Amino acid sequence: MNIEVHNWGLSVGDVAIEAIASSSVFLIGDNEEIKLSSFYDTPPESYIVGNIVPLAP
Amino acid sequence: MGRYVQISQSGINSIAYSSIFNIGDTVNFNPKFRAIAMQREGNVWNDNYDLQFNYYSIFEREAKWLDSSLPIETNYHHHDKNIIVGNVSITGVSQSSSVQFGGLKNINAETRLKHIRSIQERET
Repeated sequence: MNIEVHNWGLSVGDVAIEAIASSSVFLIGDNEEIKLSSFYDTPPESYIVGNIVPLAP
Repeated sequence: MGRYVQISQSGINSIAYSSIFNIGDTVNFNPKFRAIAMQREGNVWNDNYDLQFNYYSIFEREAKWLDSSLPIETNYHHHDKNIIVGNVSITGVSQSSSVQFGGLKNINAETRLKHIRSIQERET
């Protein structure tokens, strides 16, 4: 696949962002390759009543 | 790549946990972030409450990417090399994130976060 990019200038006015988090990108400009990954889990083991019993590997 | 960034005003409140704010060009950006967010009821804190990353499988799991990367040929023609930015106000940039004005060639960001809530036993 061939891509021809003709840039005739790029101008951005006002931007207001609350938060950019967990592998996110705010980009004004060029890019070639983006690979973003985010792991997030809250299984039952994450809610513990009483003392913590660590699961040894 | 190779463009000129003109930025008149930018306000960022906080940049944390392997994140960047960059005006100009970046070639490679490979941040990693691993965390265990523990919320525990009780006022005693000592070592036996320490948790290690290898206790949980989330920190070893592999990300699944596309196996065949498509052959892409890109050629750029920058007739007007200017990037003009007005004003930007950002409250927070965190956990392997990036705010970039200009070129950013390759990004490979990874975040792994484990939340744990620990409640004391109720004597009923």
